[in-house]
Amino acid sequence: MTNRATLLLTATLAGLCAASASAGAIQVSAKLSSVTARVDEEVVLTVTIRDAQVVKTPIIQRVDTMQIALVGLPSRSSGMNIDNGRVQQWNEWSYRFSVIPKKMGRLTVPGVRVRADNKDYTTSPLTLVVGRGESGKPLIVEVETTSREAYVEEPIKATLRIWLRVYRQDDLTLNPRQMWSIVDGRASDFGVFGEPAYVDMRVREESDGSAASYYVFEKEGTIYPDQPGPLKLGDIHVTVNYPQFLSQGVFGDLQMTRSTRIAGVPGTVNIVVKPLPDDGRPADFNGAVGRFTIASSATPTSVTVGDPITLTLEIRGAGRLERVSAPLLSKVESLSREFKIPDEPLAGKIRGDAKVFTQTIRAANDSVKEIPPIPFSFFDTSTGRFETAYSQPIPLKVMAGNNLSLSQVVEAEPARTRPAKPIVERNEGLLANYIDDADLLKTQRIEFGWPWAAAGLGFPLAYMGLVVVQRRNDRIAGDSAYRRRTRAESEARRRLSAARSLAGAPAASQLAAAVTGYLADRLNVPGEAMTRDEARRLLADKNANPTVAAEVDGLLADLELAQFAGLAAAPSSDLIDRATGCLDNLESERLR
Amino acid sequence: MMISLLTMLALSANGISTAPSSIEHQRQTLAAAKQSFDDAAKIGSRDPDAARRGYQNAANNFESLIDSGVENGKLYYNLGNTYVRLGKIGKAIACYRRAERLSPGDANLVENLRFARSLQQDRIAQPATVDALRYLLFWHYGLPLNLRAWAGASAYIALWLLLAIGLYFRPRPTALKWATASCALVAVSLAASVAFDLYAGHASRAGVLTADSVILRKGNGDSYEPRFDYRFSDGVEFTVDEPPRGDWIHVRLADGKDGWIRRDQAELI
Repeated sequence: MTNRATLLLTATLAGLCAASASAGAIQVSAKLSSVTARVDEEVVLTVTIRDAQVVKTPIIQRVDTMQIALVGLPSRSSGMNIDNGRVQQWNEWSYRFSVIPKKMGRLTVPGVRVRADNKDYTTSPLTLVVGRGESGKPLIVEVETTSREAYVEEPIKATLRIWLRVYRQDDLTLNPRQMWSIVDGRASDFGVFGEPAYVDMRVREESDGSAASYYVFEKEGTIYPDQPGPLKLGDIHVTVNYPQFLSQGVFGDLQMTRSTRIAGVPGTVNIVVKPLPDDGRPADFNGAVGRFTIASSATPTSVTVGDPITLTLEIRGAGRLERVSAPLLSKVESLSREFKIPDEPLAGKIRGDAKVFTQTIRAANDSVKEIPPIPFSFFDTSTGRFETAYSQPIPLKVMAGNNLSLSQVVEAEPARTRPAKPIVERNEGLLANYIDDADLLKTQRIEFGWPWAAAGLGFPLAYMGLVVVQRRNDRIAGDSAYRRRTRAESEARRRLSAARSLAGAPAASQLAAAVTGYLADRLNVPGEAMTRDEARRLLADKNANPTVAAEVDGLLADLELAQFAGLAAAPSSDLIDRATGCLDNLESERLR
Repeated sequence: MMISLLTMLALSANGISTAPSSIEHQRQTLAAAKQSFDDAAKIGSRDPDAARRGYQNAANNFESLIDSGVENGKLYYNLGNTYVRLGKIGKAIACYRRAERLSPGDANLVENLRFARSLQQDRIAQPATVDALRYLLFWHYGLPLNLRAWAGASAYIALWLLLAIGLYFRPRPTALKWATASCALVAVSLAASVAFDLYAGHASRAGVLTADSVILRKGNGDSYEPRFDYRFSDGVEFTVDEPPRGDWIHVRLADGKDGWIRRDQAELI
C-alpha cells in the first residue's frame, strides 16, 4: 500500500515537472485601462509577462506627449490548469505604469521593452485618444451602403449602425445589454433592417477633438430605392432614455433615477440613385430590375381546339420579386397569333425564390404545335443594360374539334364583353376597422370576486334551507303523533286562558282538561275523559319526575273537588297558577 | 335580491368603473387613433413615409387606450390592422389572437387573422386535431370568456331556482325535470370551459415572435448553441409551457419544435 502511494506521488510530481518544463513560450502583453481620456487624466498601462522565470523591470521610452511612470511593485501570480487531463502550470508577472496624457489628439503609447529569461521582448504600441472627455453624442444612428451609386429598384446592401455612448458612473460601466435596454422599442423603428445586434465597442472621435467609447449595434438589410436622387431610407428613428444617474435597488439591481430622452435618425447616405435609361428599353419591359430567368410549363399538353390550357410561368432571379409583373401575354405576338388569351394583368404568387403566374389559354386551331418561348425583359443592373430572357417552347398536341364557342371567346376577351366567369372574392387584404366608440371603449375583462363566490355558495345553501323546511312540513303532515306533540303546549295554554273567563265547575273542568289533554297530546294516547288515575299511571309509566307527577296528581285531585264538590264559584288564581306551573314542569320533562 | 345579486356580479365582471375625466381622455385618444388611421389610409400609396407615420401614431394611441385599462376584442382588432399596415406581422398576429380570446366569433377578425398569417414567411405545420376540437367544443372556442361566465352564472342560478320550484310539485313535471337537467348541463359545461381558460392562462400561454431572424437556442442564454440551422421570422406562433428563466422563455412551435428565445423577441398573449 505504501509502495503504491509512493509510486503515485512520484508519478504526479514527475507529471508536474514535465508540465512545467513543457509550459508554453513566454508571452508579453500590454493593455490600457481605457482607450479614451482627458488631458491630465490618468490611465493605467498594465504589462503582463507570462511563463517567465526571471524578469527584469520593463523599460518604456519617454515621450513628450505624456508622462509615464512605473507604479508600485510588480505582482506575481501562479496557478495550474488541467485541460483534458493535461496539467499545465503557469506564472504571471504584472507591472503597472501610470500614463498621464499632456496633449489632446490621438497619442501613441510606445511599446514596452521587457527582458525575461535573458531574452528581450517588446509589446505593440497602443493608441490613446485624448479629447475633452466623454463628450461625444450619446446616440448616433447611421446607415452605410457598400456602393456609391445604384439604379432605381436595384437592391442595395446597407448596414444600420447604432452607436450608444458607454455610460460610466464612478466604478460602474454599463454592459452592451444594459445599454441596449435603454432603447425605447415602442418609440423606435428600425425600418427594413429590424432590430440590430451588438457588434463591439469602438472609440469615436469627432472633428472638434472630443472622443468617446461607444457600443456599436448593427443590422444588415436590403434597400430598394423607388425613385432617382438621394436615397430615401423610410421612417427609421431610434429613441433612447439615456441615463443621467443610476442607483442601486434593494436587491442590488440598477435603477435609472434620472434620464434624458434622446431621438436619433440616420443622416443622408452617400449614394446616388440613378433612373433607368431610356435607350434600349424593350417594348415589353414592365419594370423588373435585377437579373431574372423565366420558365414555363403547361397542362394538359394534349387538347382539342378550344380546350383550356393552364400555362404556368415561373420567374426567378436576383431582384425584388414582389414587384415583378408577369409578361403581358396578349402582347406576345407569337403566342396571341395561335392562342386565345385574356389580356388582364396576372396576379402572381411568390413560392420560395420564384414568382409564379398562371393563365388559361386556348389553342385557336389544330395547326398549333407548341407554346412559343415567352419573353421577359428586365434591366440588368450589373451590366447597366436591358436584357430579355426567354422560356423554352412547350410542344403541344392540338386535335381538331369544335371551333371556339362564343362563351369561350368571351371568356378569353373580357375587355370587349361582360365576363362570364363567376365573381370570386379575393383573399388578400384587410377588412375595415371598427369605429363605434361604445364598442371600442368597453372593457371585456372579467374578474371573479366575492359576489361570484357568494352567488356560488348562496344558492345551494338557500336550496338546502328550503329542503329542510319542506321535510319538516311533510313530517308534520304525515305524523299525527308528532303533530299532537308539537301542538300540545299551545292547546293546553289556550284552555288555561279559556278557564280564566269561566266560573265554578266548568272552569275546574277546563283546567283539568288542559292538564290531561296536554298529557294525552304529548304522549299520543286517547285524550277523551282521562281520569286522575290514568294520568298518574301514565306519568309513572313514562318515568316522569316523581315530584312533578305528585304535583300533577295533587292538582287533579283539587280540580276534582272543585268540579264535583262545588268548593268555589270560580277557580282561584292559585289553581290556575298551579296548572300553569304543572304545564311548565311537564314541558321540561323528557316524557317518552 | 336577484336583481341586486346580478348587479353585483355585473360590477364584479366588468372591473372597476372609470372616472369621467379618464373616459373623456379615452374618447379623445380613440378619436386621434381613428383619425390617424384614416389619414394614413388616404395617403397610403401617394406618400408611404407619411402613411407610415400616421399608422404608427394610430398604433401608439390604440396602445395608450389599452394601457389605460380598456380591453376589448374590437380595439385589439383595430390595433392588429394597424400593425399589418406597418408591416409588423408578429405584433399584428398577437393583437388578433388577443382579440380572438375576447371576441372569438368575430368573422372579420377570423378573416384578418388569416390574412396576417398568410403574410408570415415561415410555414409551421398545425396539428390536425385542433379543428375537430373546435367543432366539438363549439361553446368553448366560439364564445368570449365573459359571455361564457355570464351564461354559466345565469344557468347556475336558473338551475337552483328550478330545483326550488320542483320542491312544490309532487311529482315533478317532466318538462321541469328536462329544464333542470338542461340548466345543469349548460352550467357545468360553461363553468368547466371558464375554469379551463383560467387554468390554461396560467399553465400554458400562447405567444408570437415579434422580432425577425430569431434563433431558437438549446438553452436560456446566448452562449447556448442554436437548436436549428434556421432563423425564424416575425409572426411565428408558439406556446410557452414552463416559467421563464430570467430574460429567456422556452417556446414550442405548432409542429413540436422547441427552443429558447429572449423574452423581448416575442409577445405573450
